[in-house]
Amino acid sequence: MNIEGLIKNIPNEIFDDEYVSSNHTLFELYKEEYSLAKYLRKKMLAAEIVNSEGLESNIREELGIYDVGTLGGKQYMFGEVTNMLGIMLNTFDEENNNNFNGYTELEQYHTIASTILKMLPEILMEKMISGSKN
Amino acid sequence: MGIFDFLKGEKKGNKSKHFDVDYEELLSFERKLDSLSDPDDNLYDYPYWYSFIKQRATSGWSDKTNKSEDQFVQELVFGHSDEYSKRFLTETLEEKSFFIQPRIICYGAIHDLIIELKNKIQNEYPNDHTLINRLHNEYLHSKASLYGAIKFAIINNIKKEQIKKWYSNFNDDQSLIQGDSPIQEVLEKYLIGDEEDRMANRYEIYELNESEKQEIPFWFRKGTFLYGYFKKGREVTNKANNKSIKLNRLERSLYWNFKCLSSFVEKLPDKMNNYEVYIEIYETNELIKNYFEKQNSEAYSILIKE
Repeated sequence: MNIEGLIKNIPNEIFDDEYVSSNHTLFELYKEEYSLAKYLRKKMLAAEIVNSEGLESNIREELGIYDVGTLGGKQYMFGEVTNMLGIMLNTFDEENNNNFNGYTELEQYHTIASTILKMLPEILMEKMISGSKN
Repeated sequence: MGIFDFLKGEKKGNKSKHFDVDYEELLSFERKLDSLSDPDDNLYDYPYWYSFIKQRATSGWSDKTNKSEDQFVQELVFGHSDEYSKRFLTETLEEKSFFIQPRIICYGAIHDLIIELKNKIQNEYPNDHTLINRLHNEYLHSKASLYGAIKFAIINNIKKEQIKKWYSNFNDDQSLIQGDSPIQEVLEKYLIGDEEDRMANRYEIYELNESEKQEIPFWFRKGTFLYGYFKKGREVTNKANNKSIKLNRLERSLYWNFKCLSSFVEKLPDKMNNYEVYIEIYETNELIKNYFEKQNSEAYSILIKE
């Protein structure tokens, strides 16, 4: 029985300034790519994605709508999202400032963005081999 | 309470698990919940399902101020069905049926037992207002839980004959099954968004067909503060510049939600900038603007930029 459906997924966190500032920067620079990482994180919190297979299948589904050219651009953008999140997290660690509300979220977005980045060459290749430009 | 009532509760030497008093009627109700349960199938654990009714009836949602009981129940029906539907967006009919069957069967039986218990308590203990009020609240919530599950079943094309088999007292009352979105009341009260869209028939994402769903960007599927989708486009006019443009169904849905979300963004105080809810509303609005800018620059220029 899946009783997780009874849990309401209402956004009720109050984040610390460090998260709000980092989130704002990432969103303004990489709106769609960063939002995809956040969207997948929400699905994980709602137990709609419960393992790495589920995450990978969701990533394939979401990126499968793009043509080869767009996927190439996405690969670059997800690389940027992953790098920037990595730099931000390292800076917080070096400053011994990783207990704020939102640090875990940024960590999770980084893990998800890294997974997307890792999967993108394969998705791109499949798209090219299938001969579909769309 | 009668002076010998305490004897009723002590007859079997039992203590109530769910109530503060040990009336025999309450203990009998609890025994029925236990006896209905199937020890080999935790989907049919009636005390477990009753605990949801009990919790729902004691939470803040029980505040019925300024609402009729019917309206209160209808809004809860809508909420339960909406929650199930959003969660089971991509599952098969078989999975949805498997999910909803125990809820209809268990909530149905519990609803009937609560009606019976409430009547008995009102007759036997007419002065125990605390208990009577609690049972009345549980009656409303068990009704809403049951018909929320039934609404979900009907949306997913489970036949009414099948529902009758699961719950023989099924009342095929359209207003009850339809439910009532509490959001509409707020939109009308504060005149949010364009009137034509505000009063038009809007759909939840699970009410769209597959091709309609496929069009929707991921960031426009799951927000807590989304106010429905349209199945048809229309010509929209920006009253500020008196320019019009025809939008397709997705663009119309995006623009309608943009207008609604903008109303909230404007009204939320600065001190809420750190709230997740604010961030979600702000980002969805920005993504809508970004969509128009990239996909329909003319509409962006007429409706959003100016």
